[in-house]
Amino acid sequence: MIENTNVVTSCLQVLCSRLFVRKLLLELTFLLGVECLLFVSISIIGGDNWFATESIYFYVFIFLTLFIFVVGLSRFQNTFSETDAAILLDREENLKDQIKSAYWFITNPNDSVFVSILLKNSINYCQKISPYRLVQIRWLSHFLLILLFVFSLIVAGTFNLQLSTNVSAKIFPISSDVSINTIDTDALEESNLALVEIGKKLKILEDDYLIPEDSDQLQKDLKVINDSVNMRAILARDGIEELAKALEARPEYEKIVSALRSERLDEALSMITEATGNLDYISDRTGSKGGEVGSALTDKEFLKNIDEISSDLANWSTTVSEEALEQALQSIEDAQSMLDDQEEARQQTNRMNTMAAPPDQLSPLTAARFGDQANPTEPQGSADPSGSTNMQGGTMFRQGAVARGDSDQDSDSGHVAGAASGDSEAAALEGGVTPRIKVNLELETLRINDGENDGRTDGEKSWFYSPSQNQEQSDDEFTDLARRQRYNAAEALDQQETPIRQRQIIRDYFINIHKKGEI
Amino acid sequence: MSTSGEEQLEAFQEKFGQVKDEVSKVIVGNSEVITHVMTCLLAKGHVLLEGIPGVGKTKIVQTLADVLDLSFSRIQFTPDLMPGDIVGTNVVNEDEAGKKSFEFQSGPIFANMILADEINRATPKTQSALLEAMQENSVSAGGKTRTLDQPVFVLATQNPIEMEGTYPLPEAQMDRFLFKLKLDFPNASELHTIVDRTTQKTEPTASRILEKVEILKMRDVARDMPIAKPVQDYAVRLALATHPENQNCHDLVKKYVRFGVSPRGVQAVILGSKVSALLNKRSYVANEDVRSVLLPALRHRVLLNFEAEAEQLETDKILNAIIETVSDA
Repeated sequence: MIENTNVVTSCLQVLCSRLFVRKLLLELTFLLGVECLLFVSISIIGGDNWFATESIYFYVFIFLTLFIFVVGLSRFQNTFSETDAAILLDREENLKDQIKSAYWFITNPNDSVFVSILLKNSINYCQKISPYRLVQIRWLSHFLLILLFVFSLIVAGTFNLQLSTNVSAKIFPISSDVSINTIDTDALEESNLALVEIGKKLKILEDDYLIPEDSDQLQKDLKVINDSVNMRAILARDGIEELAKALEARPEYEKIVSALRSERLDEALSMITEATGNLDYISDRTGSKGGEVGSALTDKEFLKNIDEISSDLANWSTTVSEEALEQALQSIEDAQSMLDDQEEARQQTNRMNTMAAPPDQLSPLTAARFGDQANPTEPQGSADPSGSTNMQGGTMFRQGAVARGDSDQDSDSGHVAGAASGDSEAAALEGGVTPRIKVNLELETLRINDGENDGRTDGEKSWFYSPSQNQEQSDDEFTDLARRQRYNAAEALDQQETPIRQRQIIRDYFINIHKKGEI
Repeated sequence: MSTSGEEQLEAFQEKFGQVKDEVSKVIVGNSEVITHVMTCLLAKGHVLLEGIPGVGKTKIVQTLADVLDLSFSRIQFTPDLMPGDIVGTNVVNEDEAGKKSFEFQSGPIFANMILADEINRATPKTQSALLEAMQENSVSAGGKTRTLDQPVFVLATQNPIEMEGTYPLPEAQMDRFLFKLKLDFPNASELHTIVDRTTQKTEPTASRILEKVEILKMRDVARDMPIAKPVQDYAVRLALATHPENQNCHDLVKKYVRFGVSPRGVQAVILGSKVSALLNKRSYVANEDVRSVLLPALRHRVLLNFEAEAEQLETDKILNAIIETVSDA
């Protein structure tokens, strides 16, 4: 038997290893290419913010990447055997299964005289051939391609990270639009400016008729601004809490911690200033507070400052660091500014909502969305003096209340928003005491129960319903109430401050509740 | 013959080449048929020659009998031929003393080369008389089993066109033949040569080339040819691919094949491949050898269904489709 059969086996082993490496490179290059294509495709389909945990495309990308990884692994389960290498050698060199048969008879010896001939020929052949020539690996091209794909992935990934809000989205579980506004300092400044602009517009609209298109646009703008300032408020509260945690270790600052946690920031600022003895800072701060709408400090800077201050405060050993305290004061002031912005935006939103929608259609979520204490659906004792009103809405509410037969107690306690909208307009026009809705309701109820019409000129019967049990009780008050109301109506129309265009509306309002010709 | 492998290879090829050349002196064309007939002889098989009348089926056998130093007998199969006419019968023989005894009168089957001419003209009963001789190389007659002298080589011929009054060979009988060879009509140049050779005063004759002992040795050499498992696996996969119940079989197989090849078919492929390897001067069997003998070895073992018969589909087409389908890796 031939003894140098290891020439054949070693040749086949070299071929095997080279085949494996070649396949590895090919597969890796291919999979990287597919991954790149996938990344770019999803970036195009998913938009700028797809690389965020809220985006479905992010999970699609993760799933497909894992799928590609598993497919890649599965393709390497069946590695190359020596028989595979022998088949390749036979095919490449047109040996007609010689090496394959030889390898078989090396591993499975046979006594046939022909086997020795076969092995001898195969050994001679394997000594001559070069596995490196048979299985060529294009290292350079594969390396360059892999490098190109990896580079593309890094570039595309960096670009996407810049665009996306992945980091902030992980910190604050809110919508991506909001997080974008949180990071962008310019957008914040614009929001604050826009807040002022909206306030001005609302002022104008209060004195003029509200156009629905303007209302919609203002509501949209307010929503964006609200999202932005609410985010910053959350950030501010986090910062305050962090400061409180840093201070709570020291018993002498217990009151300051309490003030911080209950958001009595002015009080906290005063106490810290007293603790440091820096009275000048109080005066400076008081002087500079008035004109600020919002701080231009970015969230990152704010958080960075808070972190630094917290670590400084926590590291107090024997002496108090004045510099740290001053920084704490500055940060608290920044936080205060952020919270003020939120309050400002909230007020504007309330004003907008009161003007734009019938009172009983206001959603309780509108104001309370970000933890607002005031619920607009809760009863309020009197109308807002600032007077954001809707006379039509108030009339509608009032008519509905009469139709339902609501009692005086109902109009005292419930649906106050409607009452305010109906009465405050007149009060503002008069410049005097705001008449209660109760008066109007009583007047209407008494008149209807007395058989008078409700101001309709078409001769149709009034559709009002009035419970009879209230009729007798209100008789005595009718004269006074009617007089007062007539006076109020005439007074309102005579006011010079009443816009000319609004006078017809006011007139119609009073016609609805009085006989025609009384005004 | 030398014991060295290389010498055996050379001697085998030399002898084979001499026989083929000698036969080619008489037979024009049909080189592949001659090779396959010799392959059957050296693979210890039998061959069925099919072709239209006059293409030289019987002539090939007669010429081969002349070249080989073997006893030759011809049996012309007719409808009234009886098994006893083939295997022989016991006849009463009376000696000088007047004592009578049975004596076995051997039939034409007791020869090394048996030409069963137009085998499909005899009844199946008579056709079956060849079965034992072909498979076990023995004959049972008169209560005794007699072994035939080696080598036993049955060459049968049949006419595929004239089917009236014939008895198609039973499947069991067909399966006994190692190869089924088809003789095609010669082309123009071959026809000219045939005419030139056979219409002159003297016809060419073949001289005896190969002795019986040499044939037997060549048979042993062929059996000694090694075949690697991957190549054998290829032959097995090809055979399995002819079975319609195989899920991965070709569509043609599913549609037209009633039964696939028997294990005897795989044996025929491997034996034929070994001789083919020797003829191709190889010391091992390659996939190419398997493919070269696949059609003659399997074409009569694949049973087609009625639909294939109706469409006059030949098994060669199905086998070629299988060869293209089954991977040789």
